[in-house]
Amino acid sequence: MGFFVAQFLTGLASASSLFLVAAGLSIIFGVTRVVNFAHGSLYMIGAFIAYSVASRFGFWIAVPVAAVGAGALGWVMERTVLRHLYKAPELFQLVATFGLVLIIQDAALWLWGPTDLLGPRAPGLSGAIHILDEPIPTYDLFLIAVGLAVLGGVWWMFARTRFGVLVRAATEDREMLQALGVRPDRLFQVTFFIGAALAGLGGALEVPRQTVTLSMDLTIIAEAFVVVVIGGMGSVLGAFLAAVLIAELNAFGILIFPEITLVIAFVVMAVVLIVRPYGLLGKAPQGAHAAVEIQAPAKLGKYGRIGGGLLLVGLLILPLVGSEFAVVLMTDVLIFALMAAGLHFMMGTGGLISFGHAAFFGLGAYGAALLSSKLGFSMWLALAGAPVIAAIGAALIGLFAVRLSGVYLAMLTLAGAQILWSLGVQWQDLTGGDDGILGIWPADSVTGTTAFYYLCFGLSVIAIAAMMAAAGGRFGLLLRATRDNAPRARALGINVGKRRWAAIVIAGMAAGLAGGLYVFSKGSVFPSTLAIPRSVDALVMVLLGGLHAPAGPIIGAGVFTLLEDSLSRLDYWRALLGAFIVAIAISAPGGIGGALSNWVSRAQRQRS
Amino acid sequence: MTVMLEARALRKSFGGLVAVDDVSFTLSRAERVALIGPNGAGKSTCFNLLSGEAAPDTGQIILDGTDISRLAPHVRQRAGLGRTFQIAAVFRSMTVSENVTTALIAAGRSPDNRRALLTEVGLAGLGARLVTDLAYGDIKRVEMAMALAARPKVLLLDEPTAGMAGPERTRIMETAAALADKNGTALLFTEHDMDAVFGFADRILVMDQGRLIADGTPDEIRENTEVKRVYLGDPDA
Repeated sequence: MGFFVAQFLTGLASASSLFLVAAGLSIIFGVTRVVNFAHGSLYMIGAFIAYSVASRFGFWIAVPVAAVGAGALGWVMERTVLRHLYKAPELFQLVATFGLVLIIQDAALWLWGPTDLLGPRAPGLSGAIHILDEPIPTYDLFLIAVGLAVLGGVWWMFARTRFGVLVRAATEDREMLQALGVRPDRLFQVTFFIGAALAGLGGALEVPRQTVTLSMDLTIIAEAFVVVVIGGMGSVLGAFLAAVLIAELNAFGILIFPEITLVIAFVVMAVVLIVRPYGLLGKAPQGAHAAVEIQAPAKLGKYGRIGGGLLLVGLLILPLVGSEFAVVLMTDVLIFALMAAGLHFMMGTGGLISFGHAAFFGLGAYGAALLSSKLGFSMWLALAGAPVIAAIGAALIGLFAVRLSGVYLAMLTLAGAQILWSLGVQWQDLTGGDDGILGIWPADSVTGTTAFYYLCFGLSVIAIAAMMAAAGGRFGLLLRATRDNAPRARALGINVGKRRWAAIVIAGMAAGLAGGLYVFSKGSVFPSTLAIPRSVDALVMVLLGGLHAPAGPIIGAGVFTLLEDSLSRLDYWRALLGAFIVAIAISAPGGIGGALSNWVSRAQRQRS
Repeated sequence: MTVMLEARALRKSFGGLVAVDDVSFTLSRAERVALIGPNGAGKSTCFNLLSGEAAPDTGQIILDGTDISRLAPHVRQRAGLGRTFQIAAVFRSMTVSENVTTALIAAGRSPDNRRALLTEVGLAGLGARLVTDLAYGDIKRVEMAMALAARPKVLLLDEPTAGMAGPERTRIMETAAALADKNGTALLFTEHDMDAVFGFADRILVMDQGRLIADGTPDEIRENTEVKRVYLGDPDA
């Protein structure tokens, strides 16, 4: 009995920090309708600040300083980046905040270095109290109290202060708020500060419990998304209930299934989304933004076709004229172009945002590696299996995903990819954990650099051309109809859910095939093929090339891979990449493809 | 007269509020019926029950002999139900022609019919234009062409003249009426414009506080004291 009580209290204590982070995320979303991926970075920065301040001035000074510091950083983020994006499609808001994640990560690396930091215990609370003969850390009890106090404080703020009333009004009905003469920019700034401060507080309070690392940001944001989706976006009480639910499931689940605790959270999330698509205490979003711009795909045009032809010829003769290094690099470009083309298909034509495209890429990669290493399949069979395995994964994720749209879909896909990633890391018997699976080499007939290059060229070109044809044909027209106006599409007899599901499966197959090729080109596979940065790479390629440009993924994958190749030798290239992402989201939403087609049509107009 | 659509004792409540309360009516082939009532009378909810955006708590909706009460909107469409929206719903990334083509493909008909369909609604020659470049009245016509692409047995029009100026209102109602006559489509429309209601409806249904309080010809409705009381706010009538 005592053991279970102890386990329960441990769960509640872990729920506290998670709740603080999720509550901040939820409040910011409620008011600004922005899902802030960089919210986990604020948590991480809170922990780093607390660590540094605690070493000089003591832990109890460090905690409030960390909260205010993270709050100030949140305020700066709002002023410099997010306020330019309140009217932008959701995709660009999400992507820009991801750019901020990269910038903050490198800033933290520069300021605090790469080593994990072990913070001090909380002075005065380092002991334990015996409850039913089980020792319970005093600090855990303190954390539980803080969680409840913040819940009470937020409730008081919403119920009793003018600011709280305005926040509720903004969450319920934004138009009304403007009609009342409230200046939204002030409200947004204060909201960002408070939400960010809660994240910073959560980070600071974790310092005595765990080491401070540079990966804290993405770990917590994935969990916070699960919590916010389960609790209902914009609902603080919902976030609390969900945080407790997840933390308790983790606390007890770890006794039964020690290696798949994240999977439990995901299953709960999936069940909640089936029963209540907007979470336990959430409401259907009203006045939601478009997920992506409602825009026709650009026509390839005469110059586009000439350019495409030249590109194909250039790629065909590359091994004859280029160096071996160039061939290896272009093999990567072809593989990533195929991966990005899948995302481009579901996101551009279908308006379905995915922040978890790595799930499909990784499923293909691990699928091919396992078929080859565990079942002894030939390369050809393993390559054929990769898209099938990814398609099965996409079909499952798609079952839940088609009920959602916009930011909900982005969070669900991210959570799905995180689960697979954690399986990749934790299920060591199957995946080899962080050591990965090694020694996956191509068949003898395509073993050379050039031969494998031509294999990738052939498969990528065929698959990309097939998707371009589908996007430009009847399938694409009906899919675009569901994106442009789902109620209208339904009223015309289009099964919107089924159509979206099919788009996700196609995207999954393309990424899966790319993953299969990737594994044979590298000879190995590691959990990083499933990790968030891989998903972001795919997103950046698509946006860079142009969401509505038919050749977007090819241009995007090419430019991105070449840029990465030259930039990644710099120390802080991720911050550069992040700044680059933010710049695209704010000032060049059409990407390179969009700029090219504008330029061509302007030149044509001038001539005529 | 063949009954095309029958609502049987429809009821829908939201929490404690009964939005639609025991509403029954029928719609015959080629009949033009207006559904009117003061704001909050339950017209929109009633419309949503028919189109499938919401499911009734109790009661049935029979479309040409098939019970469609629990079917999803896209399945109802295949059973022969078309609709337009209060704010014209079209595919904003597409040309006029692509919009209609999409509707035809979704209905399993050949895209070759698009010209004829556009001519029917008075948009001949505008096919290549982006739908967002059209005047609002023409966008409503595009939507009507899309709704007609499947040759529905029953067409629901949610405030067909909303957002349009005087003469254009009459013209779009004339277009709808002509198409209903030609194809035998039954029309059910909600409308605030009383000229459109009394000018085009064969029959008028009046709702108040979730209930159907009158069902009759325009002349009967004009003389109905109950309607005058609740709808025209005339306590002496």
